[in-house]
Amino acid sequence: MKPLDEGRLTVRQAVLLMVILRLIHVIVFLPELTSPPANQDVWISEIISLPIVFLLALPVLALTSRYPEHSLVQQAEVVLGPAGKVIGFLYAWFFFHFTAITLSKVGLFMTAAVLPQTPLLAFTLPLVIVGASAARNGIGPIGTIAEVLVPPILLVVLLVPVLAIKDFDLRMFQPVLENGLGPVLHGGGTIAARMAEVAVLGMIAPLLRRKDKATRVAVGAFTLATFFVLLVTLPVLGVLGPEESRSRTFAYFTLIRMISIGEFVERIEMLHVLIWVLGAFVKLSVWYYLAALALAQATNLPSWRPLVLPLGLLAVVLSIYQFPNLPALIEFASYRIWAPYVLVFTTVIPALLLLVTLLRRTGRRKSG
Amino acid sequence: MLQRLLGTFSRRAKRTHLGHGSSAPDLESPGRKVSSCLDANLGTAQALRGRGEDVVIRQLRLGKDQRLRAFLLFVDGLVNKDMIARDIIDPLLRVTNPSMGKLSDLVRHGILAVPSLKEATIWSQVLAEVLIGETALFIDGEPHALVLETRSWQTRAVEAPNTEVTIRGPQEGFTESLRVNTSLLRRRIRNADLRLEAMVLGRRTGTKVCLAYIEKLPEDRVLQELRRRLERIDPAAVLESGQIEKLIEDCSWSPFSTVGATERPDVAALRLLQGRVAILCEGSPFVLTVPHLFMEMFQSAEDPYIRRIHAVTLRCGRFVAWLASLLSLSFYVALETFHQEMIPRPLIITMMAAREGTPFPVAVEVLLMGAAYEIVREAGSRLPRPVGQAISIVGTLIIGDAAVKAGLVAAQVIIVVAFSAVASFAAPALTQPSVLLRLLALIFTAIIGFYGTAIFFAGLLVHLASLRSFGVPYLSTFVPTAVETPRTMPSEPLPVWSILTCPEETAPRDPAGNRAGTDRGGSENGGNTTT
Repeated sequence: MKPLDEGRLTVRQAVLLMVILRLIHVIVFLPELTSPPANQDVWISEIISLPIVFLLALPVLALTSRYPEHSLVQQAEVVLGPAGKVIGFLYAWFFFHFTAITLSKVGLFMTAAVLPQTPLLAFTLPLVIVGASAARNGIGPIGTIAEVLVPPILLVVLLVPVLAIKDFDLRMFQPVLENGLGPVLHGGGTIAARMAEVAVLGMIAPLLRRKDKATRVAVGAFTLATFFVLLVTLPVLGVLGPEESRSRTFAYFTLIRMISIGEFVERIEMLHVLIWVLGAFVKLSVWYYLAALALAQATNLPSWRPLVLPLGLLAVVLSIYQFPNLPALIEFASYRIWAPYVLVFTTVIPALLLLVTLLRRTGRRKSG
Repeated sequence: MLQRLLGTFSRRAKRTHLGHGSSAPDLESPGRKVSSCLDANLGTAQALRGRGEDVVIRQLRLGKDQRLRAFLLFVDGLVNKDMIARDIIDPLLRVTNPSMGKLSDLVRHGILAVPSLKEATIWSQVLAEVLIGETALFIDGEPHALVLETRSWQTRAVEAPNTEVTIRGPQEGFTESLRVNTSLLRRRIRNADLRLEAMVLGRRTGTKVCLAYIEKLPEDRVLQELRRRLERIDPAAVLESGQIEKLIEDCSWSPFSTVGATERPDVAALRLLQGRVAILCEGSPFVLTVPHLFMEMFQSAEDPYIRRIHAVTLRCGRFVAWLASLLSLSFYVALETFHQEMIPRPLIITMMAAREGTPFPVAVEVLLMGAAYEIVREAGSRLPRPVGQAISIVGTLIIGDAAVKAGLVAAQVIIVVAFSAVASFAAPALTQPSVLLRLLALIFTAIIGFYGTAIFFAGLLVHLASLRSFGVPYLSTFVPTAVETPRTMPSEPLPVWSILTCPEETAPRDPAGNRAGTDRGGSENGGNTTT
């Protein structure tokens, strides 16, 4: 089984890709605010989530070190034989579903916050067309695009706390650990469980230029992502306060709207929209590409390219029908549904695969 | 004997008559041999001359008793006539007692003072040489022609290049003569490893094209791909290297060119040293280099010669200016039609006041003025200088100022269009692609605001990221070379943004023991080197 794509990623590109996957959801929806502990201690949960996500990523990392040439989908087939194809299809669905969700997010956010009178399709159709051309080109160009687009986005995220610092109020973080450690730990768990990037890592590990660097990618990506998520959450909490920020649909957007320095740097929320759309485009191309790749690998097709357009059409349709409005999307994206749904694909299935491998003692011999 | 001769003659005459106007195809058939009978050759030559009034056939009778016949064939204007008279005809006429076999020997080794001399046994070979300015000498009884080097034609002198102007750095530019151009390269790379491969392109023009590269430096992949593409194309005519560029580039519909062109020998030499291959074309002062990367668009010829910190700053500036020229029109349209809240209040009041009474939507205004600017630029750039100035006065005063005064467009539109126009010249190589891209960005933005701009930018990036030039990704920083060096082949390729921060100013270092340049020449000529 070949990885199908001859393009390769550098460690830097892989890290940037995975950081943007996480950050794009956060800088608009900030789901951490409403998941437990849902108060001023959210930032502690975020820090705690870092070690937990490494734990959750262990099965995937163990599998990649055993089968460095195979993606998660192919590993399932190697380990389970033809039955593994079912798992391959499950992953194809998972990535496809996330493609549709990303489309929904862009459409719903743009209609809700920026251009309310414009039909949803006016946003999703152009995006899916550009995403399709990126997905057809494969992981190499996608990595290059991430290398170009992600650093400016991170720069803006770095800049916002500096611009918002004059409204920052440390008292908003008191009292620390209001309800004890329990809810904070629970929060850390749900935040870690949300990270679908673990499954992405399983898919792109064989596409790395240096296949032995998968662990380094994981460490770099999760640490950086957590750092930037903190940079988003802390100013929101410190400026708006926990209650206010929880009641806002787009808390970070509200924060940026409030920035006003010397009557010169103000109303820069369009900058936010601009970088968010560009980041969402990178994110969409990754999910889109992975959906096509996973399906092609599960069905042993020689290339993923013919699958791109049909999948895109289906994703547009799904993106319109799955969430009738923004509250439905936010409901789905909350920790109650999203976290367990993702956890199945990031940890449960890989753990099962690993278990079977260990019981049958196959992995090492094949890889060696 | 006489009969036979006459026969040949009449046959020739008939052929000439039939093939009148065309280039007598059977004569150029490669198999046709030079006859050992002088009269047959003379007939062929005369038939070939046909109406070509610049083709000269000079008949000679050699020896004391003038028994031995010979003739010279050359094209007037391509040859140095003084040299023919002084170094060829004169010595030949001085030969006193030639016998048939001896004369040929004498000519080959002794008496003629020409720089190079070769034999041609096939007519097509003879023709090819004569048509580039050599002289063919036919001697009675010899079944071949001697091709003597007498080439000398008028060329433009080496001047400062018009297109890539620099303050620092050499002021020489390539000319239309291939030989002069190769000499300009040779003078910069004094190394036996500099290879010049000649080939002929163009079915009708037979243009000489030359591949230049440094042995073992370019990747085999690139070189083979280039040779394959050059062999596959079969253009009828090649008058300028741009025609070759169009035929061998990777993506013909892309606005970005994937083959580089330069008028400067120092730039071409640097590209060769970096592992690229150059294509020189007779009749064109523009030398092509492949692979061509996006970063070269932002690289000015003097980047390698000025201090690095300034080079990096200027390059970043050029990049920002390019982005500004691409997106400033769209940003203006997006701000004024979709996101007015982003404009500071005092400014928006002024802008609205200026817009008072203008008839068209913002996007249409911008399109109109943008189109007017492009027309003025295009009209001005092709005109003789005095008329060009008139055009620019008309452009700025009439179209710009009067349009505002007449209330056709708002004043700020003129400012934005002018800014984007000036900014587009910061990276001259991108001026042409920018016209198209600016229009596209404008259309996307006019439809759906900043979202459209973002989509346009994303699409542009996808295109750039997927583009390749001879197998090398367009957005990479270095052209990989066959010589592995720590600089060009890090275990992980350099990130995209090093396009701006890391000027590709030096050539890859050769590994130890393979030092290029004068060192080796010195050790070969001077024997031992003390180390």
